Amino acid sequence: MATARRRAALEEEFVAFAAARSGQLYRSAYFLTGGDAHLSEDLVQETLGQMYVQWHRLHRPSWAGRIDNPAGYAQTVLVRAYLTHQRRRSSSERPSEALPEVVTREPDSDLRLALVDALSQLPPRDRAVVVLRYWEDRSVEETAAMVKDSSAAVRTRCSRALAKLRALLGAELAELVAR
Amino acid sequence: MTGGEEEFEVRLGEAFGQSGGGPGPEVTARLVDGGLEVGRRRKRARRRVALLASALTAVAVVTAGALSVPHGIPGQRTDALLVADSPPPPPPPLTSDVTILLVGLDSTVDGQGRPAPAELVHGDLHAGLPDRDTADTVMLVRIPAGGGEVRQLSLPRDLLATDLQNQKVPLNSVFSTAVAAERKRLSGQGLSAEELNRRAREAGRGALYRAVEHLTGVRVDHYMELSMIGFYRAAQALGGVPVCLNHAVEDSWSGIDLPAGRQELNPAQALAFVRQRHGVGDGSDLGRTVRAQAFLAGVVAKLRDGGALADPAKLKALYDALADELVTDQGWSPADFARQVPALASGRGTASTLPTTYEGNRLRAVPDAARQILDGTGPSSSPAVSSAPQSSAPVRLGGVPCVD
Repeated sequence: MATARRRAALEEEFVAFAAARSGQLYRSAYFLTGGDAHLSEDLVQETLGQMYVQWHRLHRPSWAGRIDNPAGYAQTVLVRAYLTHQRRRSSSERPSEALPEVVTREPDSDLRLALVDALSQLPPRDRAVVVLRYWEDRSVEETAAMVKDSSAAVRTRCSRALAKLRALLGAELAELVAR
Repeated sequence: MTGGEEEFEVRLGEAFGQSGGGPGPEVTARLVDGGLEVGRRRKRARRRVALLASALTAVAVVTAGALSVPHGIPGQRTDALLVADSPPPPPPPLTSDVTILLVGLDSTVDGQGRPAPAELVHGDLHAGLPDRDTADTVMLVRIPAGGGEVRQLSLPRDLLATDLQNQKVPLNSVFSTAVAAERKRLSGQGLSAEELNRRAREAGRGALYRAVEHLTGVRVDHYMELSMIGFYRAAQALGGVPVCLNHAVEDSWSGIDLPAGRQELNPAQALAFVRQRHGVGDGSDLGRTVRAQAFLAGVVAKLRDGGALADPAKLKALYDALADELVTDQGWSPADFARQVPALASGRGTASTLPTTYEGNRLRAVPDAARQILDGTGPSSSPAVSSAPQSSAPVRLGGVPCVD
């Protein structure tokens, strides 16, 4: 059963990838959503689901659309899933009954709380740009490609967002960031 | 000011870095499982538009595969059809057996979620009642890689299966239960009715797929689904399917009214023929299963003998009938599949029904029987277990068997 064996091998590979990357993806999602743990889980699961469907592309020849860097690809999928979610969502409030009790809130450090709180006050696209630039250390060009925007627009968003974050966080950050 | 800005940027980077610990192992496990589930569901149950070649394969497969391909599907016609799909070079021959899950939904909605015309619903479909979305026909088909016998296995719809909530439910309601649950879960999220329906149905497919694998212990490779309206249109396109009845039948539930003997069924009669339950055998689902298998044998005979495959107009109609109706998993191209399986040419096959035992008024699968029947190592649905499992004799494909 060569096909079955191959499928099992692919799946095993995918699970290893998911286990290794889901933490990073989750933290990105957590920042992107401004600290919405439930939505973060949804987004990561959605992202991993899309990766699962695309997984065979890792083994294609390069001319046939091979995915060379699945970790980076997944981050892009996540950001786009988030932006799509933002666009689609009709109201800014999530229905409260949709929050299941299985979501365990982890203890957050003061620093993380302050950061997430400030992030949540940014417009979604600005927040995405900040997260990509300063959490994922992406260049302006990479960020622009991931959010499908021009580099100039990313720069504008970034400086606007930084000014706001600085006003919100400037003093606090100096104290909270361990030296 | 620039200095201050840069300092803030650096500090922000550090703040992210120090806040960046991952979630606990519990969350991680949930993410991995959830991602896997989302992925599997998507991969499986995404619609594909089936082209003519795929439709042909579908019919071949739906008919449990005893299709005679060499004089059935001339190469140039297949190629012409495949241009529309701009396919890659021909796939390599199949290297392993393939198991396909075929589902017939008792639904008057087509594969795209569109309702059937009202005059059909109340007329030929004889549906009347609102859709229940029950999966009344569930079967597995095993296509061997190297030729040899195609094996079809019907799963009685009253069989006890396990749904997503680990409840024991009849097999035919696994789909509808999951659809209802997903619809409830998604309602209030501002989805369009169409999107809601689509996602609910995908959940149903995922649940059924899992239930069948769980129930039979057989790994299923592909999924294929046809609604009642799809069946009707396929039968219409086939233009009369030969069957043979031992006795004349008349039943107001299904609307059937047919004489004894060999005859060709029109679409409405075809539907009634496979749906009639009252007055067939002991009135259980098993009689109806035999009907479905006899019908499949008739489709095979029709395709091979009746010249449907040699008639481009009929082929086109067949394709048109199925293109909107057939739901297959996304990662699978029936068109490629057709080209991978010259073995279908052998034209040999058997149709069996999963042996079951009664549990109260429910049916329970005989353990491991499904795998053995599909592998061809098994009890071939002959009574094997002490608790007197009930089953029916396998139907040989390739002729027009007479049934009750």
